[in-house]
Amino acid sequence: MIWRTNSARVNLSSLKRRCFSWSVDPSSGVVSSKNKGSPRFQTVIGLEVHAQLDIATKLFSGTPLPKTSTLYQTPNTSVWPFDVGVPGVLPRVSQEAVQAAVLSAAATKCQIPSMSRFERKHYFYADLPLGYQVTQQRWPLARDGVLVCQRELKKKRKKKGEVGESFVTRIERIQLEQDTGKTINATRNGITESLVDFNRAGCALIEIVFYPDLRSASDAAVAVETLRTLLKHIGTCNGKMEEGSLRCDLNVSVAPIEDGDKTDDVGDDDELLHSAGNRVEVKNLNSIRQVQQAAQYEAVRQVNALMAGNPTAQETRTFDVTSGETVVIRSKEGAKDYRFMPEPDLPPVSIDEDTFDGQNLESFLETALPELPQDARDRLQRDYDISAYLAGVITGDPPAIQMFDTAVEEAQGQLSEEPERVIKQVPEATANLLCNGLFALVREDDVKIKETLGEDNSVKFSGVNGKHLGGIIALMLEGSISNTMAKQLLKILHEEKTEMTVRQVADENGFKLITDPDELTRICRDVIDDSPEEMERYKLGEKFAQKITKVLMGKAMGKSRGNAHPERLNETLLEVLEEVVPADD
Amino acid sequence: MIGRSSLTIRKASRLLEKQLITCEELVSYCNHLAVAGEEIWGLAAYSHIVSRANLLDLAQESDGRRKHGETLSILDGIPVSIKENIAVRDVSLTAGSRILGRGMKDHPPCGYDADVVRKLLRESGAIMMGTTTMDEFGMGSLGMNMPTTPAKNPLPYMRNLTPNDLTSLSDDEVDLFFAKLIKSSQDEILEIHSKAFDESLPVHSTGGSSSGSAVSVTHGSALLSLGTDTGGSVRLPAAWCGIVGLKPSYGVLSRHGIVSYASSFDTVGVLAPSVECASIALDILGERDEAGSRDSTASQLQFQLKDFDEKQAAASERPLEGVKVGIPASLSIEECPDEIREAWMKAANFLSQRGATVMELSTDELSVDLVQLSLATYYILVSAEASSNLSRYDGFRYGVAATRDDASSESFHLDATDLERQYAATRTEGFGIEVSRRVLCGASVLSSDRFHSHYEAAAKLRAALASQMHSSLKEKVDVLLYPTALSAPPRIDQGEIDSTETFANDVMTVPASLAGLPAISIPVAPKDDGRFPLALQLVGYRHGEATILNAARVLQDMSP
Repeated sequence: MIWRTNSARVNLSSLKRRCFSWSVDPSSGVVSSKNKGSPRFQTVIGLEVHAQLDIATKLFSGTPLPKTSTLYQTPNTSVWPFDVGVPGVLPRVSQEAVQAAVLSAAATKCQIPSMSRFERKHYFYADLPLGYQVTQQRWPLARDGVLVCQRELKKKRKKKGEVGESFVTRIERIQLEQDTGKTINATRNGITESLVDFNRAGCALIEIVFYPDLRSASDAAVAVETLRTLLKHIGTCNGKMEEGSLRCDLNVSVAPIEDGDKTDDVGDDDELLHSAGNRVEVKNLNSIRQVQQAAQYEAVRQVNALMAGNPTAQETRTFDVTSGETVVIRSKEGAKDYRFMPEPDLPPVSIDEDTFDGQNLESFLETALPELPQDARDRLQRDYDISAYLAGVITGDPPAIQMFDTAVEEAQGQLSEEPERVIKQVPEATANLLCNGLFALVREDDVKIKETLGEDNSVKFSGVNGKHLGGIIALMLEGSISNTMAKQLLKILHEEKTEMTVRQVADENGFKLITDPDELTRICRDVIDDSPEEMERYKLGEKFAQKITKVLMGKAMGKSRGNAHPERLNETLLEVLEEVVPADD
Repeated sequence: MIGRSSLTIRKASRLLEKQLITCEELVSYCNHLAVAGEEIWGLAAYSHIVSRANLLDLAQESDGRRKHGETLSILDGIPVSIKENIAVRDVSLTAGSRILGRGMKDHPPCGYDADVVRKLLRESGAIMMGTTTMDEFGMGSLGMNMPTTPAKNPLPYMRNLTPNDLTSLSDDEVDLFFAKLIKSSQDEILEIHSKAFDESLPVHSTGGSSSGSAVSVTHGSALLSLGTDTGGSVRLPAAWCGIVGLKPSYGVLSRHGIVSYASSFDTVGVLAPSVECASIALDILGERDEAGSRDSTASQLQFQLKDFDEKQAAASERPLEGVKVGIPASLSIEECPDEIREAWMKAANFLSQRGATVMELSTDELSVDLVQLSLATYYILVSAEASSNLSRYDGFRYGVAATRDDASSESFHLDATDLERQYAATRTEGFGIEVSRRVLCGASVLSSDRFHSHYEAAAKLRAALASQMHSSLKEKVDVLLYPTALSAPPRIDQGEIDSTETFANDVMTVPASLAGLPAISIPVAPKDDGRFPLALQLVGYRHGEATILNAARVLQDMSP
């Protein structure tokens, strides 16, 4: 084993020495060299993503799963008899798993046939307790979907309202299958022991297989991230790549391109795929960064090998995180014969009323499939006229979408007596307070939430709900409270759940701008009385008067402890000054 | 054997009701028989006999329930046996294989009950005398694929027992006779067995794979036994041991707790001294319950046998009026011996005299080609499923593992990893030769270059045969009548037996298994008493258990 690994390493480094001049453009996927007249190549990439379904039990055994990842559990504690292949114990498919897989398929616009079947894929390994994996092969749960992606822009450009370019990558199939256990190698006294943890064995996965539509490492990264966000959004996978909840395999090959070809318009895909070299599969990438690194590394490696007259064979490789290189696991000759066989212990999966608690597929999707991120972004921009940036931030946390809808409705309801001009400010103000105020508060608790609930933080864990948010906006826009007060109010409501209305909480905490003319007049008079020197200078008029007015305004605001309505206070101060020092006519 | 002379569930239950015997006496009697059978006759029917102390505790509980009129069912207090591939919580679940601890002392119990065991023992009150021996994982027709001594057919010794001639007795006198028999002391029983034993008698096969189950019922140490039937494993031993063997439709009885051999064929079946006993058992075991859904392939049908009125049927001259019995021409094969052919025709006449319409099922309706290919089809498919189902036995999580020394033997492939060596050593040691053969055969037919030509081709043949049998049984006839076996049990004390030749024993039982149809084997008397009984089977449409049981009840009267 050691011998094999070494030999692969040696080969690679010698390759690198020989042909260091090739490089790949991460955004176009074109591999080229600085040498004049040298050929160019296009990277061709397909993805296979394994997503662990975020459901209450394992796929076939009924073993209940904790909210936190099985990674953090004592080994071999989430294990029921079927999970370790106890003789006589049979599988029973979890309807929740089928539902989650169907939701994922619907979210990626797949065709969902009325029936799919399980098959057994055989191989022997210590973490595969049955000697086979129950998966789907010839009759998958879903086929022919698409994933619409948007290329990333720098934050500055996004804030300016620019939108990244869209591209589509097609999905060939989605299949429902079992996860394996985990083998852990530990060396003690020079002897390597392998320990097996079956906590993960039998967990429900969907495998999403893409067509080789991607042409660059950065598009591959965007596609994985888009899929991750989408599955998180619909709640079928928590998307935690670092915990292995979402794992990615890459299929990479390179195809020669004519000199004149434009990189972003690859033209005839069939021709390109036809001329592409052998496909290399890189397994188990656990972060978006690894996806990008592995894709780039492979593209360059394959061109190097090809140009050295030693084109890559069809093989399976793994990505070594420390060296940033891919390493051969097995060649085509070493490929296993998985001896697929229809699973005789499970009837076909029927997509019918039994699967959806009495509902048919359509009505199930109607109720269970939330608005998709892209749809939500479009709707927020269209209906509320907020920026693409803010719409993107809101849809990044699915529960925030409804919170935003509710808040805007609430605020507009409370402000119905106000002039149209004020009502029109509601969506923008709400989006700003949500994105800059509430999200900032929520982020402060990230670590705590992750530790206690094992989930990414979300506005759903905040004490603030949509009605609260709308209430604060109403108070702010009607002039009852200041921006600062709004943020303070938000913090109070965030930290403590309350039955009180926003107005009551504001009153209780003394969050009220002073608008009473008598009180404002008294404040201004007091300030003027206490500032004889300033008043002397004020009387000099012109520039001096303007400057001193500002100073007095500051003092008056200070005297009100910041509670005075700024515009009214300003008006009152001018009135009082006019009274005290009448302007020359 | 069948008739007034054997103890049946109904009879035992009546004796208990009439307080002619207690349950304690009944289980003691059966336990003595079991022990005598093992120790004196060397039957090798039981892999585990429940201790007398445990049996008596259970019997006392049953007697207590009866006293208070709280019996759980007609099976309350009835001695039964269970094949060792069916999970019983306090016994180890070995499926007759070394790899699962067969033949090892103190192998741990499996800790859970199969659905059928829960219903039979815990919910209905039957008392398990022990677990019975079998061909390893159910693979075998002779009861010889065992890591220990093969099971023996008890009939030669039983012929030496004094026959119970009860024909002249009234019903009450018969009851008194059995009450006295059951109260026999252990010494009396051992003595009778010693007298009947004759070392010079040739040893015959029990049939397999439910060998011990058949022996225990024939011998009388159990009034009912749970077996499993994948391609004839209940029917063949029942036939060769002269009792009734019922294989219900696939999916009628839950497979939860059955060690899988070939999942799409495996069926729990019952072996019993009479058709009525089998019918009583099926009625209780076939009841649907929530837990039954632990087997996803179980049929959703609520199973219920028609309440059969025995007296009325007996009174009727023509109890089978309106029942259409088909004689499949394609199953009338050349190799069928005259004696069996004669019994077959006699049975057809017998049924016809009792009202049944007997007709031939032509070779157009059930193709000769398909029947001829059915054995090959069957062996390809069961080997494939077996190789898959047995993949899990690697010695790491349960069962028996090879030692490090065995695993480092040089006989393994050079490229093998430590893990692969360990697997290979464990499986080589743990599996018997026939199991290894089928696992390898299965792996071969599933390999990518043989999948289409073998596995898939066999699956298509299976579908074609099933479709012909289904449509014949739906459109033309209600039951099919044909022999269970084409020979008497072979001798097993004369050296090696060719593995492929023994496959031929399954030729008559395999078609119903391929089609998932219910089938029951009924013994019919041979021409002269010194020989083994013959057996015919009735095969019905899917979920047509009630129909075949009614016809079987009539047919069993052919040999009083």
